[in-house]
Amino acid sequence: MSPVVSEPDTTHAQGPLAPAEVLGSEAFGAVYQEHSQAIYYLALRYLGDPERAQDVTHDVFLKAWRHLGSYRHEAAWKTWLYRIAINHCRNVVGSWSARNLVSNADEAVWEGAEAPTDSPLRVLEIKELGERIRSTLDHLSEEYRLLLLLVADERLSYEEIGELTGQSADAVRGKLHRARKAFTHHFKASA
Amino acid sequence: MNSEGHTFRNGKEEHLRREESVRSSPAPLEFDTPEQVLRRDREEVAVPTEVARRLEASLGQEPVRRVSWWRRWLGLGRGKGE
Repeated sequence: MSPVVSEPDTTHAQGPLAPAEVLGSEAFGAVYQEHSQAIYYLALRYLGDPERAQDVTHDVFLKAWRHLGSYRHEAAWKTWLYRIAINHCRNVVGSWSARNLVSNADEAVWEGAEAPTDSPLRVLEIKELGERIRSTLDHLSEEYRLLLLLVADERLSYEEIGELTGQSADAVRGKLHRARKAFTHHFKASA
Repeated sequence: MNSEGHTFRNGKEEHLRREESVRSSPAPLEFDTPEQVLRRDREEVAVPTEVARRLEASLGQEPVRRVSWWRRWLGLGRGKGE
């Protein structure tokens, strides 16, 4: 019997453990410790609802546990978990978007818009930041919202974001350019 | 007390109050990009401990081997019989 891992080993969270190893060891705890905050944050800002974000985070890790057999060993844990989380969030959105989300703002308007980069994005106090972001993201389409949240995770490359959202890295770059403009506009307007 | 002295003292106190207010007010936070805004926001967000408790309970229902390590990982101490 292999010894029980007594200390967090975050190298496991990057992917070298096979599913069978994870099931029988403490490594799943390391995976949770390493990635739960990113998953919760994505769900919180994507859905704009703390209670649903808690549900999603719980469900994502439970699904991961149940479906370790489908985990592709060559994929990083973070992208696998993000994929589960995105699918789950989309299902949640699909079931209640009509009541709770402002969806599909007109994206074309940002194509030729001038980038409002003459002044920085500013908040007076950190305690207002969350509300400003929630309000700003409410004005963005689900796609822009998701792209910005993913690119804010500096551990993800454009290629990985493209893989997660079903498009090329170049398409991600182009859409991010417009998404940044939209975010900047609405963030400044929310001051 | 003459009103001039009173006004002077009030003015000085007001000036001191303003100075104190400026000193105690945090500087505005400034960001160059939306990503920086979101990263800073993410630093302020913690996963509620309720999620870990629920997950532990859910994993306890799963037909798999040991889950007792969850208690140690989540800082919940030892469960019954451990």
